[in-house]
Parts: sequence; structure tokens; C-alpha cells
Amino acid sequence: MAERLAFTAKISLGLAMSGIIYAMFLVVPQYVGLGEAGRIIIVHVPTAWVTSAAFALSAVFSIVYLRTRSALHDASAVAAAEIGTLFCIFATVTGSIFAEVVWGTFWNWDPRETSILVLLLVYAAYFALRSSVDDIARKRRLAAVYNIFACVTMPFLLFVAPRVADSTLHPNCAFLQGSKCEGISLDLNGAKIGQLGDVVVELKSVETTGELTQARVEVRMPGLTQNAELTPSLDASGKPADRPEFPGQSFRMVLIEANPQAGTVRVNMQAPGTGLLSNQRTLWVFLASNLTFGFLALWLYRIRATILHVSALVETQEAH
Amino acid sequence: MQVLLDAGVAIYIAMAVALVVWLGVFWYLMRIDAEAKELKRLVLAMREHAQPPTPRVTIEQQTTNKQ
Repeated sequence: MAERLAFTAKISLGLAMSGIIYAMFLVVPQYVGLGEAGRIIIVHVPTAWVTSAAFALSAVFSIVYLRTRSALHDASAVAAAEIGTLFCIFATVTGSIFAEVVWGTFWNWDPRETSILVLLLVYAAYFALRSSVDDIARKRRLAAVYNIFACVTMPFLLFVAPRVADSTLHPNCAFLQGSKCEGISLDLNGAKIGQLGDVVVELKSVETTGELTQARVEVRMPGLTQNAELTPSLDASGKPADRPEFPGQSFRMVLIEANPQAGTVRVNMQAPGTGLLSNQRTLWVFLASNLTFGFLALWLYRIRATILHVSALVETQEAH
Repeated sequence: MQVLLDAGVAIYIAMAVALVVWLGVFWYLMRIDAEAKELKRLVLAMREHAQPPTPRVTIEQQTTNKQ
């Protein structure tokens, strides 16, 4: 009975993932500024979340191992860490493809890219540690302790660091309001120069003409031979009107607030993809994708854990 | 060949490629899952047979006839 249920669950997973692939290409709509690249969110974000869940599960098994000293718990911790690393690589690669389409480069050393690379290195060190110690009991003990510390860094590297950083192009606002989505403040009479991503912006003027409040902002970017000038504006109701594109990029400058009397503005770089999930079709496919990738990771974990358990059993038998 | 890269067709091609890759991965996972389970079953069975026999002691009571 249990076997039949497990088989049905696997077939359902296969069909669900096929459905997600179909929906990703043919149900999810295109997005202004992103085109077809916006579809990658259906794979990219779930893989990143599965990564964090797998690393957390791995740390739980490591804690249990330190209490029980059971080889099977150690094997489970390794299996979960491996699945986490695999999905972390998926998230990095899909993110990199997105970056190429939207930012024009596969790797930009954006805080988000850098932090996920550091996370990969932290877990690469976990596997290196395991393979560098010969004594089995010592190896398992050291690896379990290291794994707990590695997991502590994970939420910081995945969720905190990229949002604390002043200059990320990653569209955080697609999912969470706040963080660094509030942009930077410039003051004609004070700090009139600021940085958005690797773009230096300088406020030249802010004035109201007719119904529009317009800011004149000079932009200096790497690779740009001449400084460019952008004029984002707000309409009479205080909502962004003109959102000019940064030269040679597909992200835009948006004016969030402006006070012409005080000579202050708040500007931000709006990455394409902001507000992506406000579309219902995208939202439901996205949620289904999270669930499906979660079950896929669980299945992969079980397969890998079974193999490692067998290996641990054989190791124990040989030791006797 | 150029027709495959047209905007209207390319998305179907991309979807077909992704589906084929997923079905390949799925088939491989089903196989490896079944093999891993079989392996575990075999190792557990071998472990059971390889258990050292329980030590047995035979106690014989000898009585000596004192005449």
C-alpha cells in the first residue's frame, strides 16, 4: 500500500513539473522590460527557497547527530546539504541568465550574486572538510559542528546581506516591500551625489513645470564615455510619471519623492520585474512551482539519503 | 532552421526542450530511486545473515559414583 502511494506521488510530481514547465512558457505573461526573461522567476525563486530549506534541514540532522552519534543522521545531514548545494547552483545559474538578459552581463558582482557565491563556498568548505579527515567519527563530529555554523550564515547571506546593501539591482521589491526598495535621497544643498548599483547619480535640479515635478539627474556609469542626464518625474498625484532608462541598460530611474522648495528628491533604480507577482496567472504558477520544487527536493533528498545510509551501513559493518 | 527561431515558434521549441530534459531527468530519478531501495534491501538482508551467532554454552552435569 505504502509503495503504491509513493509511486503515485512520484508520478504526480512528474506530471506537476511538466505542468509547471508548460505554464512557465505558455501561461505566464511577458513583462515590460523583461520580455521572455521574466518567466525565469518560476524556476529561480523556488530553487533559492528550496536551498534555504535544505540547508536548514541539514543543520537539524547535524544537531541530532551530535546528540545521538548515529551514522544515519550524519548521512541525512550530508544528503540535505548536497541537495541544498545543487539547488543553490540552479538558483545561481538561472539568476545569472536573468542578469545577462536584464543587466547585460552574466556576472556583475551585485550584492545578491556575491552573497550566493559566498554561500556556495561556505558549503563547498563543508564537503572539503568531510573529505579531508580520515578518522570517520572525528570527520562526522567536525562536519556536524561546521554545518551548524554554516547554516547560521545562510539566512544572513540569502536574505539579509542583499537587502542591507545600498546598491543591488536584484528586484527585491517583486516580493517584499521595504528593504532597499526605498531608494536614495539627494539634496541640492547637501549630499547631491549618491550611488545606485554601480551608477553614480548627481542631482542637478528639481522643479515643477505644469503638473509635473521633474528632477534632472546626471548619471555616470562604468563603460559610459560621456555622462548622461536623466529626467524622471512625478505627476500631480505624486506618482512616478517618466521613468527614463539608464543608458544601455534595461532598468529605469524612478523618482519616488520630490520637494522642489527644499531641493530634495528620492530616486531609485527600478529593476524590471518589480511587481511581477501582481499578475494572478504568474502568482498561481509561482506558488505551484514552489510546492513542486519543494517535493522534487524532498524526493532527491530521499534517494541520496538512501544511498548514503547504505554506505554508512556497509562502513559500520566493515568496522566491526 | 530559421523558422525555429521565430518569436512565435521559439517559445514552443524552448518549452519542448525543457519538457524533454525534465522527462529524461524524471525517468533517471525513477530508476535510481528503485535501484537505491533494492540496494538497501539487499544490504539489510546481508547484515541480518552476517550477524555473529549467539554464543551457546552446553552445561553437562557429571555425576561421579563414589563407591
